[in-house]
Amino acid sequence: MIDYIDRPRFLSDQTKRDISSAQTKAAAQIKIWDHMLSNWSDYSNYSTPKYKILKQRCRKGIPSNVRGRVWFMLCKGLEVQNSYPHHLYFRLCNREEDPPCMLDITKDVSRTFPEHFLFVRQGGQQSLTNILRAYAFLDPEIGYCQGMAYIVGVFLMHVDEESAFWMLVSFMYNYQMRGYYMQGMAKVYQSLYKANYLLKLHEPALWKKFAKSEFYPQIYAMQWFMTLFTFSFNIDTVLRIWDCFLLEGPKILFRVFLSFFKLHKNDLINLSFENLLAGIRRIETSLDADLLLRAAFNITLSRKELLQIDREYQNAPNPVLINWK
Amino acid sequence: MEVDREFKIVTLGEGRVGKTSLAMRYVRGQFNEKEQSTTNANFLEKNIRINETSIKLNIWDTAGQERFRALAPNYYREAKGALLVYDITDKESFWKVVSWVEELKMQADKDISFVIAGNKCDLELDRQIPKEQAIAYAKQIGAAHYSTSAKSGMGVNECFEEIAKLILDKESRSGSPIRSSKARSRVIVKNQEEVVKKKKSGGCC
Repeated sequence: MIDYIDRPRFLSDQTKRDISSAQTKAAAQIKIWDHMLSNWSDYSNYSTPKYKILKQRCRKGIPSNVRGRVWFMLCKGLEVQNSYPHHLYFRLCNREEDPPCMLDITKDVSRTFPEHFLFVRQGGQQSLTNILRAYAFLDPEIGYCQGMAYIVGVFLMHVDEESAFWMLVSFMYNYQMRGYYMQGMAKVYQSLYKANYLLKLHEPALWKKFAKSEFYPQIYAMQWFMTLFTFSFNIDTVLRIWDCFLLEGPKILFRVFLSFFKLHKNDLINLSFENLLAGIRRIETSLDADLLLRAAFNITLSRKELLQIDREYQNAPNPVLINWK
Repeated sequence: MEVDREFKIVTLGEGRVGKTSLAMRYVRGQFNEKEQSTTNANFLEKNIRINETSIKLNIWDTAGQERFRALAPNYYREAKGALLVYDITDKESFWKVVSWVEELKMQADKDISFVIAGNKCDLELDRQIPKEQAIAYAKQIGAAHYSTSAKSGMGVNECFEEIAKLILDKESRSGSPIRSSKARSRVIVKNQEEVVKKKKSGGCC
């Protein structure tokens, strides 16, 4: 405190300098992002040379005041919207009947981010309901599944209601997240299998310890995948992960999964089964986004490797019971 | 502390009836009005003493939405006790308990002990399930029924301890302690559809 203010509450010279330099820095950042947004096609296409720049910047974290706009672009929100009939969202919202899963939706809405200022209020909860209800009409095969409300919640913290809806549609179809929420949740199992496999490869000692305690990813990591870490990690970390996920796709989830254990294996390796879950939950809340992500990017994880694991999962003689060992 | 027995218990019930809240109230003595919805089973433990026996309860608190139902066998397998929770202000949630009982009878350990908890008793005015009906049902299936409120704490310790007592009773009747050292058991991801096919939820009355 002493450094911040002079006695009668005037800012000290140093603080003034700090503030103004922070402001200049933020303004410069926004200018950079504004520039990228107005020349989006140069950056966003995987095959263009400037894609690498966008990727680096997303990995560094998108500034919060442009995040909503950038996310919408990364999701190709507008393209998705235009691929559906005009005013579809409006029409879905105005349907008179409710989808069959309406009760599940109402049950979850008031307990999604109940401590966020947007969702303690009627308005935020109403938007969340509208989007989930409209989505259930659009995709009756999925309807609503627990976990989805958190995803929409994070979108709503950044964009308006209709944009959030189209981002959800994109999230489900373009990012192939439907498998996580569909009856049977096949993709959840696949991800857990992959996570376990990768842990064995990258952190064999910890994996061995977990395996001995029969402590498998489905005990702790289901909610990581189903809510893209939203339920578990602190929000700063979540947003940084999403910055990358929305550009690079699901690989980042496994990078984060691995870096989580890489950074914290020493805190976990000596815990008993009973304390492992509590240990993980404790780490989740105190994560340092920068550290976690830096470690995540340094992990070598090839697309080929991931595909190989997927194939193995598919070819497992009995995909019903997974042999974890 | 020396532990004589270790029991695995699972909480089951419709979404939003208060499974997590009951477990948290019991183990941590806390109630969070804003408990978030569960997408991952939680594991909690508590040491208790019943008569002369010290017991460690390993409580698996599960997600309630129907879609997660397929995962439940991973958690109730090898469980010695189940706390079946419904919300007294939500009729449907009671029928869900009925269907859980059916499933557990078919698929769980045959010695599993049930306790039914009618939760949210602090909302007595909105009650939709007559207490007598719930008690009669519990009696019919040989389970104990408790009126609970995770909010006020009413009945919470009692219902969990009842499960422990029931398990102990069964042990002493069968003569040998039910093997429970590995009570926490392994959790294997199992294909959902198989289970869904086996049993569509059983209605009642």
